[in-house]
Amino acid sequence: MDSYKIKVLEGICLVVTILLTHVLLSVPSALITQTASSTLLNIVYVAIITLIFFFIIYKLFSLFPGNNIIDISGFLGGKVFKFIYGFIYIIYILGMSAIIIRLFSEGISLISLSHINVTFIILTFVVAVGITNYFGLKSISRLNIFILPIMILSIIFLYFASTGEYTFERIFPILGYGAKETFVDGISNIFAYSGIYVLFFLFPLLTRVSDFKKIGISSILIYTVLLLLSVSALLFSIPQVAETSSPLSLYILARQINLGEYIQNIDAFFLLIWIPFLFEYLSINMHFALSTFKQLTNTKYSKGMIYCFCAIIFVLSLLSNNMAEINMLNNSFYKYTSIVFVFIIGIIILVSASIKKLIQNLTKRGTQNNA
Amino acid sequence: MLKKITYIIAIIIFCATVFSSYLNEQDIDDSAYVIALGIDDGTDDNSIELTIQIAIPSENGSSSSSASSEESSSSSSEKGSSDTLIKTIECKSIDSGLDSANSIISKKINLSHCKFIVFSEKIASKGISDYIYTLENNVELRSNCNILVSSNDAKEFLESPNPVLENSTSKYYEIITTNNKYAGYTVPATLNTVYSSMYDTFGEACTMLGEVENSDDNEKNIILGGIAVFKEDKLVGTLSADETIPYLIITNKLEESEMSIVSPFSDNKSMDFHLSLSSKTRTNVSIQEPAPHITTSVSLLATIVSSSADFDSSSHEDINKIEQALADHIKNQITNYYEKTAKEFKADIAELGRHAVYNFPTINDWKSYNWLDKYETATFEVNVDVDLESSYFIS
Repeated sequence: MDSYKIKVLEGICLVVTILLTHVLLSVPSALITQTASSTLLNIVYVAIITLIFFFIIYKLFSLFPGNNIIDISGFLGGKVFKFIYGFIYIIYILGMSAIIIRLFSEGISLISLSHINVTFIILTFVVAVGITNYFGLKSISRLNIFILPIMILSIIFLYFASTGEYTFERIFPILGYGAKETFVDGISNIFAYSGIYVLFFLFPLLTRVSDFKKIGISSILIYTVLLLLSVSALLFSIPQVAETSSPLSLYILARQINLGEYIQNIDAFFLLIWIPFLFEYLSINMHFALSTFKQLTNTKYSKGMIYCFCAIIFVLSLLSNNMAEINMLNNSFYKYTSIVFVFIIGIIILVSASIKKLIQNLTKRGTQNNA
Repeated sequence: MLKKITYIIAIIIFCATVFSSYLNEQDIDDSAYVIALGIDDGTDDNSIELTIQIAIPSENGSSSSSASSEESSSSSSEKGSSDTLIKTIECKSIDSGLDSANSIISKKINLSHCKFIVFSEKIASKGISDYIYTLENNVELRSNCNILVSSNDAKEFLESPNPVLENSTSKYYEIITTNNKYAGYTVPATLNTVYSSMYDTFGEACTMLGEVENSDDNEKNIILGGIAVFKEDKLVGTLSADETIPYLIITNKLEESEMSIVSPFSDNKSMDFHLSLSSKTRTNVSIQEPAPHITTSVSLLATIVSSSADFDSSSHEDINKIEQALADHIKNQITNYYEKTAKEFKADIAELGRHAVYNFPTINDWKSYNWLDKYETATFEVNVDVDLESSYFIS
């Protein structure tokens, strides 16, 4: 798209934005459904695994300086494999964006815009995302530096403002459904970190290789703290048996905040923060979909594809007929596809490419020695 | 630059067109603001009688009150509650009742200012979880809306408020629910707390208890006092206003209250005290077989507010005697509360399960122990410590 190089702070904000959007939607309630009272313990456990995962990919990426995952897949399997893998990545990003946009639109339609057809709400998001992407990564990233801190403050505020409704004992029984369910089956909760796929694309956008490590560790830690705050607020406020099917998990907390006699029903204020944050999320996603497309096709002017991708997101988001279908799609597509695509296939490609490179280097060295 | 300005203008026009409600214009005058909902049993098994109390805006009060008089009970209109309109609808569910109300009155029903949801004892004893679940999912309704069980019909309860010191019924509702802060005769029970208790595994739900009071001159008014005790979602009994104080002490919700005991110096005289918690009540649940053992340690600060002058307030012996008498009285009250809720109602409304759950490593262990049923077999130990302060200017 453009040759703009991002700084450490911009990188952290980009990654945290992608990770945090799912917290705004269904991730906290999905985590609590899976591990109940042991969710906080499970999050710490999953965060440690994610950090280990990150250190592995950092080491592997270091072998391919200046390359992203698409370049590395090309090195591993040639042009055809690169095209297939890149194409699937674009579908994954667009599909995830479509689900998120639909969930969020359904949420705000349910809460405050009940008189507006959800199609128009989705259309507004899509058009705005299209326009933002026209200005490129620089404007998306700079704007994100302003929006993300407000979003983070809103989560911290939500946590502390809800304390009056907390039943801290809901953290017990400490092992939830059991040790196996928390630490073995509960590993599937790593899907909450699948937003780190952005790191796969970040390497060529950085000025220094060491920035990658800083961005990765900082964003994972910041996100973990925010995830713990969001999940604990929800866990302490609502009985575990009462599973929430709300498209906006954090809204459940926002609506119960009462600050004295005069400040009540301030949920609309949170929507005001969350809407631009979602714009940012969609814009970043769209940017990486477009840059991947450009990389695959070697198109010089890929901005024309913005309209096409916007239309795809719009149509995909309208495919589901009702909330049950969207929730089902969200649970299956986002959760399981993310685990397989980001964590399993991602690491397989990186490890295989590293082995290939190692073999190439050894062969090269052997040839040089023979010569 | 021009291109950017064009884009920005395009975004503004687009958003303004989509999000503005020019097609569905709805302003404050189009809504009828409900201040209380009453739910009574209907004429057949599957129906309910939904009573909706709607605030009449003050500028329309004089004209609307006459319009409302035919729907309002004669007593309420006579007693100055003409700032509200009461409609009663026989319906299958709360939502269908609200829909029917929308079609009857000229404005759209809005629940965002609802202060009270009143259930009659009859419907509460059949189970209210479906109603609570429906109301909790209503986007308009605030989670701090008060839940109350009325000894009378909910309709009669809503028709009876007689706010003498307040101009509006809505304000009156706000104020009477806060009397637990200084009297300790009722419990704070909101939609959120009732919903949580009903679905939690730590204890059972309880709500405020109210009734219609008929005065000697045939005037009606409402009074709040006591607790409605639920087992699962069904009303199983009530606790009186006096029995509410032990509950508030155990749950650390007591802010301040007055208590009267027989004077330890003279059997035919009484002493009045002002009570508050000097430190948080500590409850320990020991999981023993065959029954759990519950130990409650209470620390109270008491101030003498009225008494005869038959004791020496500078005498340590007399002070100790008073402290012991008050501590024994409160200990008896708390023990009676435990006995009543455990043996008679079999419902742990103080949610003591919170102090028991630490002992179980997994949810399966906790569920198989079945705290809610074990509570009825529990044994209790109560320790009360009272620090006495005199508030007399002259001793």
